[in-house]
Amino acid sequence: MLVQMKVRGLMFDPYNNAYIIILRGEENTDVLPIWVGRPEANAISLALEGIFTPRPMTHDLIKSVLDTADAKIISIVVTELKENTYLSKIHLTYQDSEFTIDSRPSDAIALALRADVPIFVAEEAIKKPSSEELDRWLENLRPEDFGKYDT
Amino acid sequence: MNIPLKVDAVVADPNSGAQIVILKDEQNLELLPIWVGMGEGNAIRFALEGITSPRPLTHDLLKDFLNHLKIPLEKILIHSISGTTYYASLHLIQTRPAATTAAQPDEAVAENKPGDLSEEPEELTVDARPSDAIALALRMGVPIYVTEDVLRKKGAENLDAWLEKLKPKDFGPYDV
Repeated sequence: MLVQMKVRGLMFDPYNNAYIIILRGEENTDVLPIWVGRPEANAISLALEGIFTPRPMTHDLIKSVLDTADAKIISIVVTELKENTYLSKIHLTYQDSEFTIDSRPSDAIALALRADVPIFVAEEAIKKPSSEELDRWLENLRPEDFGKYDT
Repeated sequence: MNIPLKVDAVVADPNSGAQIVILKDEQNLELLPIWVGMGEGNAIRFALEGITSPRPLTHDLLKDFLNHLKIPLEKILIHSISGTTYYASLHLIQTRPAATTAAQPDEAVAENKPGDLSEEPEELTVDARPSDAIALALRMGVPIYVTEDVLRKKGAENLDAWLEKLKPKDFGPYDV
């Protein structure tokens, strides 16, 4: 089963020197933190904040290639957690056919925000918080980290 | 006229922390340095050195899109320069079934002409930063072109920009 989620936050994880995207379900019950690299976090942050860059960034270029070719992204799905790495798929239509393309969640989310399409997470990808990494991360959370992108 | 260039190297600019992509023509007569960001520089270096990352990077994803949708990249062109910013374009070939280009042919007509698969290849041009265009060109093995106009202009404009970035201490180590 798929759960629709939204990007609720983006924060820095000083322990791993990486960034964390927080996905949360509509009912606020499921939270999915995904660790991403700095350029990917930057790409997502630009889209979240609606910042316009004078030149197209790489994800803008992908969007513009798809728009020019008349291909449409329908949705993205974070499908599974495999060896501590999240896998995802991008679904799109082009010339009356459907295509599914494997992608890192960071790229998929950066594109979903730009194309304004829903982000889904497969239930099996939502792991209960148990890892050491997550504990450390939770200790680090501040109240203001949440809610910034709530509407 | 457009001149084919090859990526010679990606070097770090110690002044700004940015990276510089060095493009050269086949006779090594023309040299075009383009300043790019760290991430873009790495994306180009990975392709240049044949390093494969365990997970596909963003330019690999763009390549996957083009391969899956069967939209081949023909070439990239660095076509203009404004101030210190270079502009490039991706040149893609799209083949659309002739039937879909007509205004919504009804199904009966489409069914009656199963043999009508005449296709019309069409060139699509997409605006890109040179860094993204080069990173993609290297991954897809397509030629990189630059217009003569850009090569003529780059001499003066780029050198000025580079000179402005220089600090007095940059000259020191080479004094004799």
